[in-house]
Amino acid sequence: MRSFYSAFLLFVAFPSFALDVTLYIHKDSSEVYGRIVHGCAFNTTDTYSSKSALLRVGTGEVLNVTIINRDTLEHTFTIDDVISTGNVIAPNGTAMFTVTLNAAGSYRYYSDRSYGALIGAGGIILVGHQPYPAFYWNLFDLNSSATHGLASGQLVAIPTPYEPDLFFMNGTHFPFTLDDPDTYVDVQMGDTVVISIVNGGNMEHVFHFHGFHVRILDSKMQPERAGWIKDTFPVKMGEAMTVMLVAGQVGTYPVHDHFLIAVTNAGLYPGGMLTLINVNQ
Amino acid sequence: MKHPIAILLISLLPLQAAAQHVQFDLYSAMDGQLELSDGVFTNFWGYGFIGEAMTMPAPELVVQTGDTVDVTMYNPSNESHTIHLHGLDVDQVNDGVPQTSFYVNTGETATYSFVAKHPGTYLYHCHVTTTQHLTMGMYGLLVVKEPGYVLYAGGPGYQHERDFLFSDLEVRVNDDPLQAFPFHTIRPDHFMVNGRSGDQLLQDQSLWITANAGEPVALRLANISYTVVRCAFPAGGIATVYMSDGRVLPQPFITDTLEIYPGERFTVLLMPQVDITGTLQVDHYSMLDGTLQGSNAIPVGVGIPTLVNGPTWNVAPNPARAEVVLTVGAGALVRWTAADGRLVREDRLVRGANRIDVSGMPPGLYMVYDAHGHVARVVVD
Repeated sequence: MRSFYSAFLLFVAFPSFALDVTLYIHKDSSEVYGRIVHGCAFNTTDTYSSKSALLRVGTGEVLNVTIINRDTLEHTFTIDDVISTGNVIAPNGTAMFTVTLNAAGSYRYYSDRSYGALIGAGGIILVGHQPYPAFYWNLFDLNSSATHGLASGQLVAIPTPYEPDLFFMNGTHFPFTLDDPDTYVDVQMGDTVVISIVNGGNMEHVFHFHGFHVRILDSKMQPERAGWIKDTFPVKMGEAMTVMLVAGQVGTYPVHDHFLIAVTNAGLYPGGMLTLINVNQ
Repeated sequence: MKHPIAILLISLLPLQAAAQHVQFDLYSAMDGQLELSDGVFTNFWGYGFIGEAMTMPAPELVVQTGDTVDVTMYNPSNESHTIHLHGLDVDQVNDGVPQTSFYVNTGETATYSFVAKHPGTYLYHCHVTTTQHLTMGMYGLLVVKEPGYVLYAGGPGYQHERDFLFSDLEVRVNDDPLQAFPFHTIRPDHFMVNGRSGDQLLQDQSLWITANAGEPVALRLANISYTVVRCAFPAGGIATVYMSDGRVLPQPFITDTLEIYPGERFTVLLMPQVDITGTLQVDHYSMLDGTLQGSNAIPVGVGIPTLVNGPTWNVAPNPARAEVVLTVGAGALVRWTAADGRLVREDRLVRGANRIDVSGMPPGLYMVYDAHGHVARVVVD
């Protein structure tokens, strides 16, 4: 059984009045299947990780975020429909933001600069849906050959036609998704959990659950789908949504993008946006 | 449903049948040949009923709510395959994912079992190297029907039904499956409805949606393609979406278009209010950038006793730019309707060749029909 209190997940038990968080904007490169990928992320420590921070607060709880920008370019702290102005963090600067999110659900935060958003600088804030334990799938896709130009600002848009070759969940990809306790859903029979899903990538995705239907609790892009019970649903560009899973049968079941080029790593199957639900007796 | 045992079972069922045991016997194969609408032939892989030819898509499996179902697959082909019962929430051993269930290797036979708990539209497909095996064609529809011609217990009834599986392929890959590597380069270039496309949809009347005004038509729609499908329902037919992925929606809704993402399924009730000669437009959009990749049009005829692409009709050129020549075997008054069902013109034809000026017509797809069941599709570009 996994711990729900991972090093990357800042969780404050309900009820609480404020969550104080410090995030670091880092930009760095890493090698993925022989390809050099330049990325940008909001990290909880002063060391680059391709996994951006996953935050959880109670409904109406105050979120105080201090952001230390280690990049030489300015960034923003943007939450769609919540904070989009006065949100710049200067190069090598520090800024503080206070946010109160009154509606339960998933929110996407990100840097709206091309050298941020287009190479993965974004994470998830899950509001409410207590007392259920939460998992997080922060989706991102990229064309590895374009990331150097995007990271440096030489490119301000993704070259067209878009030809992604790497597909990530929380900054990692299958089979390494199984090493990440926020991505790999490891639960007990009968558990009810929520999964917060954000698409910060550059294309649309669609997720399919084996073994289970889930209930859509909220969706920023398709609010009319709240309450639908589905085994397959789109996660549109910019989407932030929450689904509820009741672990009703024992076993190990894949969950994956059903746009099937996204379950590959550099063209190799299986990989990319694929993880497992493991229900223990 | 083609399996003889299944046919026997269904034929014995009263409207409110008791649950049955249903056995399907399939084989997998990798030597199919498919003719596309542009006359191009390509390869496909898939499934067929034992003793019958393999089809694209694979045979539709139809059962009723409550049935206990066994799907047995014999694999004589050179590669391992499986059957994933997409959306049926089967247990791990029956899930068809080789790494968590089992492979069906060359020469082996295996059975997948489940109880059809929820009426609705489902899929089955191979889950071995899925990115490749699906684009090669290893998929089919699986429908769980509620007895009594209703969508679900206590739900609305229907008099007609059509099941449509939307899919696609890239000829380069199907011609040579090794071209699928690297997998992220797959870009479909042919788009199909139940394995047919373009003018093939006019040839196969089993695909046409026909009814009389006031007669509800159940449409089971599924997308197994690599693109987003957007269905545009014909004007004059109220489309109400009742179900998705084998579950009843909290609130049915009326729409004139419906997006279906890869792997999704919907059940729609089309209630034609008036006579319709139009199409159910099926457009495929890229998941990568939202651009239109291809289209198909399923003929819809409401209030027309029979839609027949009459052998005595000839249309040339088609597509037409300035003029089209309609050659008919008998004089008739013909009506032209646009793709959305609007009547746009009438022409009185005489026996023989009729030269018709179409230079002032907006580009698009038109259905031309008379009162005797003849119909032709004319494209003005």
